[in-house]
Amino acid sequence: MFKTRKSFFILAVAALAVAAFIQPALADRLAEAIKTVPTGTEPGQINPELATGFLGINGAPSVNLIVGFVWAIWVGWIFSTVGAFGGIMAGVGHITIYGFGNYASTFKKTSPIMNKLVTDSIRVSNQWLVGTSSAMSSFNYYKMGRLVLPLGLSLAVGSIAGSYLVPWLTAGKISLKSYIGFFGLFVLFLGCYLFYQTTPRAQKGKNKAKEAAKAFEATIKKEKEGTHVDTSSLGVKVKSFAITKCVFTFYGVEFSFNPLIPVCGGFVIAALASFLGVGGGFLLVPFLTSIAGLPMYLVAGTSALAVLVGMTTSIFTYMVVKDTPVFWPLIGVELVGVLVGSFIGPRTSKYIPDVWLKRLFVVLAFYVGIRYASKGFLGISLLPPF
Amino acid sequence: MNMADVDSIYLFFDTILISPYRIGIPSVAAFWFGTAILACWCILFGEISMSIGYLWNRKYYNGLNKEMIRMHNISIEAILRKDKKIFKSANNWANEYFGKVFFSHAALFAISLWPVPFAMGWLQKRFSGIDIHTIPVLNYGLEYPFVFLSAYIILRYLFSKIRKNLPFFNRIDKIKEEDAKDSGEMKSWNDLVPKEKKEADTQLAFEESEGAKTAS
Repeated sequence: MFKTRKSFFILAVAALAVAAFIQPALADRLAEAIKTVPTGTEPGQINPELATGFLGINGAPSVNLIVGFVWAIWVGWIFSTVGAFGGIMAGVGHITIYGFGNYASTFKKTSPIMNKLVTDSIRVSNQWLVGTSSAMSSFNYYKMGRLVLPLGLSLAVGSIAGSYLVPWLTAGKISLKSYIGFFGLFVLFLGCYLFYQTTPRAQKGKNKAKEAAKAFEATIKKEKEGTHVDTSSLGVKVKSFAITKCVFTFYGVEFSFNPLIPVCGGFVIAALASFLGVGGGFLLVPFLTSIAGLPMYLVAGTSALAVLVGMTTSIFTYMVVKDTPVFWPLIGVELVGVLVGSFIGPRTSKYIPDVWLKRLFVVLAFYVGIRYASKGFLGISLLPPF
Repeated sequence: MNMADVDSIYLFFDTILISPYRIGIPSVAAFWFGTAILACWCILFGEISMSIGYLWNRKYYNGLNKEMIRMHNISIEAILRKDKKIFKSANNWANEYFGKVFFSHAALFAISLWPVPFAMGWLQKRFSGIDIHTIPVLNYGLEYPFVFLSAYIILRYLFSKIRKNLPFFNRIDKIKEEDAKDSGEMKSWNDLVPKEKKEADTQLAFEESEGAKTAS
């Protein structure tokens, strides 16, 4: 029984990875791409008289390694203290701080090849920044029975399907501008959600929950060993299943959830991840923990699997991609920045409470959100830099 | 720090890194050999950085782990006693801590990768546009990323196997083991199953496997 399940698991992961790069990622050579771009001084054209910048293209935004390094320290700091959202910050950095996103979009009409090449390059850069758990950890979780395979696989399928479907469905229908607008709205929503978490009311609720848990812990310590368990209600038993509500008992305690949530959630995460060019793992953990409310025991394995599939896909795609130009020194410097940020993070958390870090994040989320949303939908940025 | 600085750093390392490629064996073998040596450097420096990062933040990671396991265990006990409200609160806290543990591990993993982009940058400068292997039938060429990443993944896996025999790393592993013990044991759902039922299941599984053996 276990043997077949194990092989099913490995096969499923392999099949997913193959499905992911069935469309061979043939990146064009940079030189050939440059040839396709008309020369001139207009946006979307290359002016050979200008100095070289990103990837050695004339007139491209030049990358400041120091800015990249400082930004990455911030990303590492967020990663090691607040937990999530480091990935979002990495993406924002590549798109805004270095101006690659704007630069890529100028080639949309004049040279689709160049547009794709620069976008690919940003994507690869992001994926390198958010590398996470390894194959071994997923596998160990699976062996420990801590993986909700259907959920993990459906999330993984969603993220792979999403990363191919979303661009295909929206090709030519949604401009990069409105994409940026939607991204801004999402970041704003995230900011609001986090802001709520930092309100005194939410804080009080959380503290109360912690107190209750502690009190409960104290009472069970006094109890005798060998509490009687009702064996008739072991494990998960589904009581009713409808498209919007599934009711099940878990060791005799009744729970219910909406099956549409993981499906939609997976797709939304995939859409965002594909747009930002990140794995999606960074959105997955908060999604599974706060929105889906899975037991922690299961979240660990499930998120590890989904991240693993994403990582495998990007590594193998990159292995067979020919010569996607990547400005490697920038990524190296960024990883060193993450290293520094991870060293600083836990040291500062003593002096800066979690709540204030989250508030700092909220301010940033509002700034990025308003700027992107106004730029995408109104065509002008309401906040500097205009 | 501008592009010129980066170039001069490259030139310095270039001399050191290119020598294994020139040991006078057939070119493909020499390329694999040189790249494997490069991957070894990346693994060594990456793993050392990761270990130092772990030691530096050890107390902080342990605190998170302990709280995560504690809240998780409370949630299991709560389910055992059919207390849904406590289960939910404890589980929310366990999840909160898990998120932090997960991302601090992600950051550690990212730290262990820092030499890789620099190695890739050097390879790109040196070997860009050269097909090392060609996939038959498709006639599709594979360049340096294929060789480097294959070598890196295989060697990193092998490194994880021999870690315990290496001086600095075996100390780190021991420290990690102690920390894991110190964090307490995570209760699993199986702990909710009464003892007599567990024994019956084990017996059944044993009989099944024995039956499978005789059948094959």
